[in-house]
Parts: sequence; C-alpha cells; structure tokens
Amino acid sequence: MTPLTWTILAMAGVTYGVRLWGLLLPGTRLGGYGRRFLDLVPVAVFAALVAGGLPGTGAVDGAWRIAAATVTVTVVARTRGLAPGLLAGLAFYLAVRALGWA
Amino acid sequence: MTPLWIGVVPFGAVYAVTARAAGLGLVETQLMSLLLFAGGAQFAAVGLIAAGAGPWTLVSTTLLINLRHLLYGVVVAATTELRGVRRAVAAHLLTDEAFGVHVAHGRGRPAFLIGAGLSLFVVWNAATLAGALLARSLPDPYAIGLDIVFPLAFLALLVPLVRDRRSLAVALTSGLAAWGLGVVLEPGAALLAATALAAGIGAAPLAGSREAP
Repeated sequence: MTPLTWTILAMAGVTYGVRLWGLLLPGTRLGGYGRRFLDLVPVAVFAALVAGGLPGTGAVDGAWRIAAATVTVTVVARTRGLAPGLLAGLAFYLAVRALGWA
Repeated sequence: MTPLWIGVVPFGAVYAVTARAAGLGLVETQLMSLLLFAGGAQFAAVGLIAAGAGPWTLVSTTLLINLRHLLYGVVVAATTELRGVRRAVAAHLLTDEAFGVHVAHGRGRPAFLIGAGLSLFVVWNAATLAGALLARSLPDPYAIGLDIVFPLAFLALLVPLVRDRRSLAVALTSGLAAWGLGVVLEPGAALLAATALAAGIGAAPLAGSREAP
C-alpha cells in the first residue's frame, strides 16, 4: 500500500470514529459556542482553500482568476448548483487563456 | 430521495475530476469515496494534496471538518434506537444528506436511516467512478489552466453555506488569514490555523446576545 492509501485509511478511521461516537452518546448536549463552531468549520475551511488556490502566476493572471471566481459565485447564487457554477467559471477562464489574455 | 440523488451525482463527478487532476490514482480516488464517504472532507483533502500537504494535516483537517457528524450522531441516537450491526453500519452512512432526510422523514426508523444512507452511498460512488474515468482523458491541468478547478469548486461549495453576516465574516476572515499565513507556514498548517481562528471568532456570541457562550 502507498503512503497515501494509509493516509486515506486514517482519514476514514477518524471520520467513522466521530460518527460512531455520536451514536454512542444519546442525550449529550453541546453548548451554543461549540455547536456554532462546528457549524462554521466548513465555511472557514472552504474559504481558506479558495484563498490558497486562487492566486495565479502574476497580477494579470490573478485578476482573470478573480474574474472567473466572480462568474462562479454569480452562477451558484442564481442556480444553487455546484456544477453549473464551476463550469461557467472554468469556461470563462479557459476562454480568456485561449485568447491569450491570461 | 430522488432530488438528493440527482444533487449528489455532479458533486461526486466533480470530486473525482478534481482528485484525478490533483494526481490521485483511480483506486485512491474511489477508495476515498468508499471509505471516507464525506464530500466536504474529500474535496478539502484533494485541495490539500494538490498543495503538497502531509498526512497529519490531511487527517487533522478531515477530523476538524467531520466533527459536526458527532452532532448528527447525538441527535439520531436520541430519537432512533440503533444497536449492534445496525449502529455500526449507520455510523458509516451518516452524512449531511442522510441526516437531513432522517430528521425530516425518518425519526425513530433505523431502517429509513440506513436505506437513505445506503442509496446515497451507491450513487456517490457510481458518480465518483464515472468522473474518475472521464478525467483520465484530461491533459496536465496546470499546463492548460485547469488547476483553477480547485478554488472554483471550493467556492461553489462555499457560496450556499454563506447564509448570514456571521458566516460571511467567517469566510472573509478565514480567507484573509489563510492568504496571510500561507506566506510563513506550509499550506496545510495555514489552512488549519485560519480555520480554527475564523470559526473560533465567528462562534462567539454576538454583542447584545443573552445566550451563554
């Protein structure tokens, strides 16, 4: 097995452990702060991943990538669909590159 | 369940395409869907792998993202009697979507929870396989600009989660912190620190709120 396979097994182990732990704890109540923290973790993680991956190879490329991100946000906000938003932003950016602007 | 299945298909396919673009093999891409079965954590893991993050960062980020499943388990256990094999199986199938339909339609019915979760598991894995096979025909993503698929996919996942000013503030704080910390820390550590900081601040009671922290 590769190191990544072991890592995937460990990731699966902690996920299963958390889910099973909850099922073994009926009646447990989490305070307001803890509940809000857990609710906000996905928002914070995805925002951090966007910030880490969006900057391009220069100012011009970076500006077009931000424009592509704006297209994705607009389409997702209107359609509530992951795939249409992703494809629209991607198509915009690839078209800009094909035209030699980025 | 049909609308949920239809909704899961593009997520599973997009996950697989991004995973293959990040360099994961067909088996590794599918293994994550089979064993982890947690869309948000799978997307995050792919982004971290593409950024060169190490095993500890991957495992700790997965734990952080999936900690909310602890709440799901507690709520399900309070309303539905699950024991033995049923509880062990339900633990693997307890996703956001399965929890949602169980709370809405299946309280007190363990078979409903397992059936809903199992159907989502099959659809998610079939969509992963289809996306992974399709992605084999794609060229080097960085050479043709396809690397932008990572941030755009995370952005598309983020937008529906930003429902109020609190979540918007958390998203902006986390993004700025990750960008700033990325200069001095390795990508995975910057992500963990930014996440903990933004969610920790964002979870504080609002000024004027009478709710206990």
